[in-house]
Amino acid sequence: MNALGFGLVDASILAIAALGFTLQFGVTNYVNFAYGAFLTFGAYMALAANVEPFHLSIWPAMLIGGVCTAIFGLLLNQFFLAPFVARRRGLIFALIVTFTLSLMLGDIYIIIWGSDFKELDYSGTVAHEVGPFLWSNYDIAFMFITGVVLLAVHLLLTRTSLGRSMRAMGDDLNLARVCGIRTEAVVAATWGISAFLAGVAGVMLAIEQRTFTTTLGDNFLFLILGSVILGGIGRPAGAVIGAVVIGVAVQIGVLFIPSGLAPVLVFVALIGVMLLRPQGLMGATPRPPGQL
Amino acid sequence: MLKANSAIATLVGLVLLTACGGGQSSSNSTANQPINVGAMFPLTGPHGPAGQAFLAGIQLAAIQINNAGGVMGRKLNVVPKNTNGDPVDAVTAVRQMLAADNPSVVIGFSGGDYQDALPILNQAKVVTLTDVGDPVLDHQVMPYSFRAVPSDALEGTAMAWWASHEGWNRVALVFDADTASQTLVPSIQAAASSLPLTIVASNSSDLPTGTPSYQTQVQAIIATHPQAVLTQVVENDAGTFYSEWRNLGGGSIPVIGSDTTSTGAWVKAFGSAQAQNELVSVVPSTSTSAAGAQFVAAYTSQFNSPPRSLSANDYDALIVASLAMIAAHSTDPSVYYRSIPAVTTPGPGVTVVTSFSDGAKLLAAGKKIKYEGISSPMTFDPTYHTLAVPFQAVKTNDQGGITVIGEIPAEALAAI
Amino acid sequence: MNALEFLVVSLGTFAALNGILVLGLNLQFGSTGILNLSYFTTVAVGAYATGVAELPPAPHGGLVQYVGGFNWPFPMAVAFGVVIACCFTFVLGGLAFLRLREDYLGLTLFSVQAGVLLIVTDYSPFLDGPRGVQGLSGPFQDQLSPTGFEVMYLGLSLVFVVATYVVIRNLDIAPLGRLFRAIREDEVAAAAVGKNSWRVKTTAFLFGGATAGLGGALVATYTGGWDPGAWQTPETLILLSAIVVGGRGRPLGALLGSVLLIEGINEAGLFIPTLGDRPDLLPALQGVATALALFAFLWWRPQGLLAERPERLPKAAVVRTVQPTR
Repeated sequence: MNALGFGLVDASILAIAALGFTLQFGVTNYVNFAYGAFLTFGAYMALAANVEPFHLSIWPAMLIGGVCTAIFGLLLNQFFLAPFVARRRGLIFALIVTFTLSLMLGDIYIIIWGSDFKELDYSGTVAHEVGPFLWSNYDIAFMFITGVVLLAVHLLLTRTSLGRSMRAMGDDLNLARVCGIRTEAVVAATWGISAFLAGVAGVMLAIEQRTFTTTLGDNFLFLILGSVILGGIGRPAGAVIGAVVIGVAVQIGVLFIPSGLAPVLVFVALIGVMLLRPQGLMGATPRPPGQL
Repeated sequence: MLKANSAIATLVGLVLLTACGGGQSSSNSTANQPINVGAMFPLTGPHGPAGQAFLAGIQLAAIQINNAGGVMGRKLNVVPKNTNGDPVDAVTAVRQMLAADNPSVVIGFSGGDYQDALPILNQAKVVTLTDVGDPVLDHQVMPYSFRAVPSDALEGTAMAWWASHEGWNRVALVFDADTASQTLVPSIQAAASSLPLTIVASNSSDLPTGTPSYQTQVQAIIATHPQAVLTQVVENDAGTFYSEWRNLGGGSIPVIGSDTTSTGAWVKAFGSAQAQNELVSVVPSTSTSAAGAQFVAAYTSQFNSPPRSLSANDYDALIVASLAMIAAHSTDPSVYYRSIPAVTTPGPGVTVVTSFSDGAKLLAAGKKIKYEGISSPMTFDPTYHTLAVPFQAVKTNDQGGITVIGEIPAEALAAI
Repeated sequence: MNALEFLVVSLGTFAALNGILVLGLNLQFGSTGILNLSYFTTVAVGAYATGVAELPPAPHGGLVQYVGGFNWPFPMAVAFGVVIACCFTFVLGGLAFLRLREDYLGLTLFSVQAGVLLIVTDYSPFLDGPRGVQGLSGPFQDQLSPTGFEVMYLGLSLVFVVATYVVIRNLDIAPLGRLFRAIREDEVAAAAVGKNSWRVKTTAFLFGGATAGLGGALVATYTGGWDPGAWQTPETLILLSAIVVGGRGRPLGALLGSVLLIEGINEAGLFIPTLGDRPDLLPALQGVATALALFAFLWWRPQGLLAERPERLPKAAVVRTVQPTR
């Protein structure tokens, strides 16, 4: 039963990360393989805010981590990704670019910050019993933050014109253009939001793991992809549901199978989806290929 | 086609450029030719700093040997090769060394890069002294290879022995799902069956790579109420696991680690304050003799930093090889390999020496010697060429300073 | 053999072996447009399969654990590696192509690559986890001297890479090769004229997978072993960069890119000394250099150094497409 509690905490972090990932995919129609590197970036930015040289408390540092990553994502899109997509139309190029970027960023992080482990500065993580679960104040805070984020994203998508534009582009890009939606601006904003969510999730992950290195986001990316594929890529609700399933399954699974085989669970989900329902739990028929 | 031609031209240019930079042509060894000593270490990558420290141990030995007149009047020349901690790169480096440098001895390797290169050296009949702890080698007969470090199987046994010695008989295992669990855990499990030691929660002992937290496993282990934890995990995982342990109410628990856990960085990851009370690392004994102190002083003055744990092992390795060459009057490894046991086996009429110069003088006078190393007695098992060494239980502070708190004699380990 | 001779022989062998690997990915990606981010996993399948076929059975209850252990001679073991790689490729590709569109495909293949790596590394009873399989040998390894083995393997690799090149080149100029490129250019149009895109893609995927398995088998028996360190995520990227830089779709171009990028950037790193007190800098810089080379070519010359020669079709067959897809 405790495992379920732990799984829910993991799922919260996963949900924020998966949400950011799927929002960006929904609008741009290509995968950002460098997303794991965004999580890592957020953690290192929070490190600078929290430890050296600014010594802020952890919560402002988390916000700063998210904001810095958002700016990073915006700049990356503005000066690198969007020009690439415009110049070389074709899905494959975008995929290669983000895949390469993920590896290059990892190397750049090593060059800047080194390969040794880092620690954020915070205290008070002792768990206590909350009903049948064992949660610390931070665990509860994470779930609360996730709830707030989900609500905020939901409101964004349903109540704001930006959100409506994002959904329109997600459904039919050309039609959205025809309707006068400023697609470049929406893409830029989406990158900012996606990167913000990634940064926040990265900081949460760094807090949960206590120590982190430049590969913080990389191993997590596998779980993010699993959640997103399971839930239906491009579907925000699906990403959240997928995150809950994967997050809980991994923690509970450890009790029953040799711990080395935990990735198998994600695998089973992936293969199941591939065979039975390629569009995922919440997905509709995907867009035709190649359309950017 | 033009572009292909220019590519070929580039390649040829690259090859020529590298050729101008180095490489000696192998020729018959003459009286004044240096003796090549191959040094195989990861000099780049995450194990780079460790590899460089071990290389420095060899270099210090070479300097001292050359100052004492060399081996049969010839100087030693250390040829470092970068394995990058990778078995494929190690193979390339070894093959290059064999083709170009005609080494008389090869020293080095680590857990991650020896697998494919060591058989090549044995086939080429080159004497090799390795820093490999993998117990897979414990029962392989490789006539030309000698272990300069104790097997991890011994270390695992020592960890289990210490737990039993401290009066604990319910222990949990916490290891990374990597070579640590492959080499240490089996020997701990084997020792546990002989000692009165019970291993609890064994299916939670491997920490998988892909999961974001270990809380479920931590909880499962706490619930079995172990009296102590035996562990080897990388620093990053130590930071995660042990902080979760404390958060979930595991409290203060004695932790027995290995040489991996005896560094300042690991102690910081574990938690410096808690480490002073809880953490004990079981490491191969280092000599407290005068020779040991001299080694540390000489190393520090030569390289401006203190030696790392295996620097002394490699220092001893080169001295052993050099003394064996003198004893055999040959630098040909296929000849002098038989002399390595001859200079490292104690017995009646055999004088124990602790430095190269003492050993060389006695050999020149026709006496029998046994070299006793700084890192260990350097007595090799006759068949498998493994070392039996005593261990120590130590505490480390977060600067890396080590305090010995107990001894684990080699005889006690052999009895298990 | 002196240093220069050894350098040439060793670089040559690795260049030939990398050439085989890159030819396979070029068939899948360059010619047919399938971005197979799990290509190196297939290479690993071939390597591991050859390994467990060549090795004797793992000692029961010993430290080393792996499945299989048939004690087969070199040719049979390599053939086994290729066959198993093909099976893996068929299962993976067949399922994926049947159901998934391009965007999902890239995602799924990437996840497969990540997942298999995690499982093999963490679960030791399968393929000995981090230690991997060791003690593999090439043909006649016991009878030859170290120098003799080097030269023999250089010859062997050259024979295989030339043979692979010939097969793939012939495939390329055959009607099947045109089908591959048709699928790459416009899958919908190809389907409209009655070409079964699943069959074409799976065929290309299989040929590429067989090549991957062969390459993996040969590298493993050359170096004597195979472990997770040899097939981490960046490996596929290096091959991909070689294809983009050298010439996408064109086998000779892929080989050229392999020599320039892989030998030039990656192998040269072995001979450069450590930079200051940061030994992790050099591999990181190599990675950045490879990535930048890839970006530069994608931006300015995506067809690579040796561009594909344009198809010469009879005039009547030229069809105007409404929107360019490249």
